[in-house]
Amino acid sequence: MNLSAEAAALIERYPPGRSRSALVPLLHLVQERDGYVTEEGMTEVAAILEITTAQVLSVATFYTMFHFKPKGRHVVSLCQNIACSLNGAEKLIDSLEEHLGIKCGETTSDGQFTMERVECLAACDLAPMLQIDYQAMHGPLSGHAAVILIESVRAND
Amino acid sequence: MISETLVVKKRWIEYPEDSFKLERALADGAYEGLRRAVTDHKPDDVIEIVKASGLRGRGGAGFSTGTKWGLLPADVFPRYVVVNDDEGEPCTFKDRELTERDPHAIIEGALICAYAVQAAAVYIYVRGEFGLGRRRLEQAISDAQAQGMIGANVAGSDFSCEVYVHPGAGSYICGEETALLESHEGFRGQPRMRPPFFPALKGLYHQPTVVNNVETLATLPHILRNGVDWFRSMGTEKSPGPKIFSVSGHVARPANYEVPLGTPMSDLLELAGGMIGGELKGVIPGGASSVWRRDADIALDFDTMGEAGTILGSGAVTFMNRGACMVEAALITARFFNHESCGKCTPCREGTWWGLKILERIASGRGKAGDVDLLLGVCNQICAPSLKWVPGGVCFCLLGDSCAYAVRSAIELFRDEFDAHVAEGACPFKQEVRTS
Repeated sequence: MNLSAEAAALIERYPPGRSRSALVPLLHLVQERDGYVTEEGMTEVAAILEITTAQVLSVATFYTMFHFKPKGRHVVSLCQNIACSLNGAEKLIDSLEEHLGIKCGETTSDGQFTMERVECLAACDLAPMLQIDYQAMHGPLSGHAAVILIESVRAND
Repeated sequence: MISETLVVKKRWIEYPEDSFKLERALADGAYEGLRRAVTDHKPDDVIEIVKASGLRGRGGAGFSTGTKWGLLPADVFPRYVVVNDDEGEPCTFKDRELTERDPHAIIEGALICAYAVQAAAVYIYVRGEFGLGRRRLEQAISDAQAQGMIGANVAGSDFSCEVYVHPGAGSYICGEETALLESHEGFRGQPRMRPPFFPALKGLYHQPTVVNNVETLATLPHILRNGVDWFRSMGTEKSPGPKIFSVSGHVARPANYEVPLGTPMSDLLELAGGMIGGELKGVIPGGASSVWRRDADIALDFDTMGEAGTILGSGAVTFMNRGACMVEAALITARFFNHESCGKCTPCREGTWWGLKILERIASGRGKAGDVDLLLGVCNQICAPSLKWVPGGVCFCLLGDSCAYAVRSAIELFRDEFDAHVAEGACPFKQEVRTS
């Protein structure tokens, strides 16, 4: 899939000559299409915006949501900040690491899940909480409830 | 029995199923404030109304909203309104809930602002992780456009304005307004030098720009509909109106609560169902950037909190019970700021890193004699030693200062716990400590 059609619609949101504003939105599209921010994708974005691939890389690496190697089909983001920690975030993280057999920052061998520690996701009413694929937020979760949740995600694939 | 004062939250409390939909919002009076603004008032009059209301920014700084709008230089166009929906201050979750539950209030408020300053476009910078909020905003914009509220002839007036969503991609510092603009323009989200880059003078694309928080904007329609006197009937003289507080930590019902500014913190704690797991030991009273407290005996308004040496901040209040380890809480705070430091200035980049290293050592029981003072020394080199939160250290922005103020206050209030970790070579609270 070529990005050009969506790119044009995105660039139109910004004033003439300010197409570089579409850089982060385009990187989101690349990650959606390729599963992560690929070199090919960055080169393509650079060509669309008429900037260098190095400039794209320098911006992309600033932001935590962009991945630069293949990630699992689902990203499980576990909050480690204060409200979640006060309410047992480390136990939750331990339970999921044990269940999936990986540490945060790793991907299961079947390519199903990538786990990552993240900072406050602005859902402290759900503490301790996690987010799946940067979309649905779940909490408060015991370790047991989190395992059931993850397995229901797997079952629904 | 303490109860909430529902203003900004009212729609989503009354219509929890569909408050985010246009039909429901319209039936509940959405866009009436905008209609009145563009029909009954000249742009400058709207600025005067907002000035008279005394509304202060709900994002953290508490600056007068009307004054901010009035700072734009005359006759310089185009102008922009940028909505700061990049909520990331730890323990703050009001903007996320507002975005998901009432996107039309944000759009309406942003358009009132845009009319007042005659902006050509509104950009809503929404936090990358707010997947649901972003989808609801996009839908709300599309629906409001079809309703004639966005685009040519806003609400049937001569005023025209476009509204767009711009997603972030994971970065706390992009909530700082100049970093947000830098990020919006397609660069790394690092703060800009002020002067010259005050957003009012040289903001988005170096044009005059208003950057406002979403809660600030969502308050505007109510002021336009109900008037300045009504707004000032709530809160205090210098901090009028209602405010949403995000309450978290060891409380029975963590949630967003809307109360008049000036409400005692102890009332907020009661609203949240009181402490669980033990009595109150410490409070992080205004988000991770704030100076900590031991008690809830203080009024929640900008001035009282400032006079007490802390900040009202974003309105995030985190209560910690006697079982919580204050060293662990300080460590989490330092880890956060170190992770989010953009690296542009040395005191913040190096200071948060060294501070974290020392805290990890203390928390994990490997602390050496003198480490606590060493840690204080690091804080004092990020920003001058002061127990009162005074903005403006030696960095481009306040991220490093925030870390230093928070950690320093934790040590000042709970020095015994820091010393005990060093003396005992372990956490007296038996917390498991993770080191990076």
